[in-house]
Amino acid sequence: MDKPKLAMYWASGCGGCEVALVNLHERLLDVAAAFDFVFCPCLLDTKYQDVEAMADGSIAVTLFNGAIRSSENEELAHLLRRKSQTLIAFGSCAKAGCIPALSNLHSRDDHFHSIYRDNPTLDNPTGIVPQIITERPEGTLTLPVFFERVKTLAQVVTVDYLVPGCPPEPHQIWTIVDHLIQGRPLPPVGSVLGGGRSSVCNECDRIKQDKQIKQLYRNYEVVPEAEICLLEQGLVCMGIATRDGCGALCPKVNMPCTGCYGTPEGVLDQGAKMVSALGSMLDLGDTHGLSEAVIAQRLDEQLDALPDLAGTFYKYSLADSILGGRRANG
Amino acid sequence: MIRQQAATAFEPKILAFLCNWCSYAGADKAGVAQLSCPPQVRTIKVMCSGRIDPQFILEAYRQGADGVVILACHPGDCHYKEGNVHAARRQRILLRLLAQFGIEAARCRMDYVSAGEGEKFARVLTEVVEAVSMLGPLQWNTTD
Amino acid sequence: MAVKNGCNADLDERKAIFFPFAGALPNLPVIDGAACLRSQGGECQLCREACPVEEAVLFAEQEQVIEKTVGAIVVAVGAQLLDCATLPALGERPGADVYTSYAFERLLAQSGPTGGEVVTLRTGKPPAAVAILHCVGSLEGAQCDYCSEVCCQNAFKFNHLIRKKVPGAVIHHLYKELVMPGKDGFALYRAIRDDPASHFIRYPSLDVLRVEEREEGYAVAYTDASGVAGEVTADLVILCPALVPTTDTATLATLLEVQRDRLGFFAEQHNRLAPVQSTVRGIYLAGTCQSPMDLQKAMGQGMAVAGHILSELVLGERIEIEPVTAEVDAERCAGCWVCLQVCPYKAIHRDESGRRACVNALLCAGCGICVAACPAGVMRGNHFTNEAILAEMAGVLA
Repeated sequence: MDKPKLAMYWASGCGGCEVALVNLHERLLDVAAAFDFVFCPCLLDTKYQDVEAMADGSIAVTLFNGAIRSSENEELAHLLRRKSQTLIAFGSCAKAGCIPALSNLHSRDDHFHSIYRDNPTLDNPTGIVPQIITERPEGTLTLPVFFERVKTLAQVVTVDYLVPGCPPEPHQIWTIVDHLIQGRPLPPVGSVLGGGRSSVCNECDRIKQDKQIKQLYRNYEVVPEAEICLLEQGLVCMGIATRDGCGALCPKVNMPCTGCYGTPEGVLDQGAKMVSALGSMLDLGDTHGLSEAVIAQRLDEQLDALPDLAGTFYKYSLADSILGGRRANG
Repeated sequence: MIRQQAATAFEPKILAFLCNWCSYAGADKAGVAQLSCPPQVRTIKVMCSGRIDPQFILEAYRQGADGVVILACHPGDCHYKEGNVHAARRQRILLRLLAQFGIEAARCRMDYVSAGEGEKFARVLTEVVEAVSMLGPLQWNTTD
Repeated sequence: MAVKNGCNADLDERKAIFFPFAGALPNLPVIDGAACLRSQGGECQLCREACPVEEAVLFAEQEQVIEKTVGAIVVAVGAQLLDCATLPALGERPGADVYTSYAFERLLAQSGPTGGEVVTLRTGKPPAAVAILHCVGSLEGAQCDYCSEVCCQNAFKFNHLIRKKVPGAVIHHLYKELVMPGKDGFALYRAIRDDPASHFIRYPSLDVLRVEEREEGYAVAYTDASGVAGEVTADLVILCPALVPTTDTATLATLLEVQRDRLGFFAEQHNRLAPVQSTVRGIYLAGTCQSPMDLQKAMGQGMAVAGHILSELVLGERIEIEPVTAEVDAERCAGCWVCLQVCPYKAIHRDESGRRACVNALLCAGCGICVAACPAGVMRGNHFTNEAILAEMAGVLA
């Protein structure tokens, strides 16, 4: 009997998800033994046409990483959806937009302007920017459409499962792959695989006491104490509003969680939850008898320590957040 | 005259969050006093302004609200002691975040309305409708 | 054995076995352990010998800590007077004819050090002139920027009684504000105002007052509210210090986990809607521990508290709680404790494992501050769930 077919595709991503898969180390041999790896641009030379030639539904599982930045990404998403029995949004880019989606805070024109026209390292006197269609004597050249907004995989095709992480942790990947190899029944379609049901604090052993923040710091400003909750020390640790499953790796090495596992179950928007929690945690000292203006000023002084709230709170989940990005006409 | 024209051209949708004890009673007061309140405002009652999750506010914009108003008990008068303090702080932080999304502060107004301030209730809502009318609609449709 | 009698503001002495004050309930004498010679290894048993009832005086009785489980707690620890030792310019010290309102009250009392006679320590004669300094500490500074409410009526009563006991005496009132609301508040003041022996001087703040001891008595130097300097002489000076929270209010508040207000008094849950409830359900406040107040208000509070408790804690009845409460999804709670920090009612605590938050539905008031704050979406607001509110929003925005 033929082995089930496995595909892994990178859309708008960095290749870290592939590295994470390779980090299965010798277990990769088990994967190879169980699956026929048919498509993976990072590792194999399968062409798009080869995938198109496959029968619909002939790929058992596709691990789709990378966000949907361009029409090429979207086209492959549709293609792999058609060819795959199970399509998994693999990693934060495919699941929630991740770093590529931070560009959603700006328009396409803004990007083209700063990438191709107004940048100290550019030499582009005629102001050439990429065109979708360029007529040359030799023929017509086409480029994929650069979308106004980065989207998640689930925003363009139906996704069966979502795996969080930038990148997903190898032990979580193995749990999923092993599950597939053993042929055990999968959870309901739409479920998150390879993550916990709580927040990162669940796996973080730091001592958590009073969630009162006297002063906010950026990472380079302080060396935090090793045993105490980083947030309580004034570092914006996103762990409180981030799904667990990573093993609290970053807090374990004295770095605040940056939120790569995305929204916990039951949360729609990491940024909104951080706003809410921070609003209740910032210690403005004794405010009795002070005017609202003075209290607001104290709050502002604290917040000035965080110059980029959106970038901090939505580093991995902007495309999947409630607003998704900057408004169209603002 | 110009403002009226703008208002007829664009009818903003405003979502107002009211707390059970002060601002909702203030809305009642406005009703009893037969004050005219702008029809563009839809209201949601919560027990306390401290219950207003910023997720609700973002979701309101996503679902087509052009502006959001949070009306709480006056400072020191919160039925739950300090829910209004939490609401005010969250709103202030949210304004910074919203600016990065291109959403103006006037689209997320926080104010205080007591149970007796029917007139203020009507006035604040009228002000918000006017301010948001001037700003125009929030658009989320992308060109792709 | 004789020691200073604190009940009489140390103006006289009492025995080591004594009645705490006239009319104390139960009306029994107690032994002051620190003063009793037996505590210092002595063999004295004069009190037992003097007692006609055998075995009524028990030397072996020890202080006990009694633990009780109760359904309600009433805090009625009162307030205290501002310590005038912190205001040396006003001249209050042992042996001086400068009295706090409390000390002077004892001087007027039948059971007081002089048996109710108003005489000065210096001469043993009734004073020819008395100065009453109102608002000592009140209406001044961030910590005391309130009216102590009882001092005006107290001072007018002193005036009235001094004039009755010492008909020739002249009384000088130095005040920042005169406060006399209510249907009975004005009557006493009117009588005194219309008495030619009473003089009223308004001063702006304590730093313009100085009480100096002179050979013939005391001089109170002042600058009045219009900036004019002056001086009155008196044989006896009465200070009306501000009512301030008792020294151990902070400790008690920490023990009970109830909040205090910006002035340090026990904070009421709501200044109009719930003035006798503390910030924790089941803990009530009565009297000046909550705010300066007169007897009538304190009585009213005490009765209100009794009524609340009696109507809530009915034997055999269940306590009704509001269904609008917060609830933790314990399975998913990560124990970040953001909720613990925001709850104004101390209704959230760590469960037995110490790793999950847990809501006490009895204490929860259902405000939902924690529901909005919970960054992991684990706190549910019953009857005002996220799902319900979002569905309502979708409805009105459609």
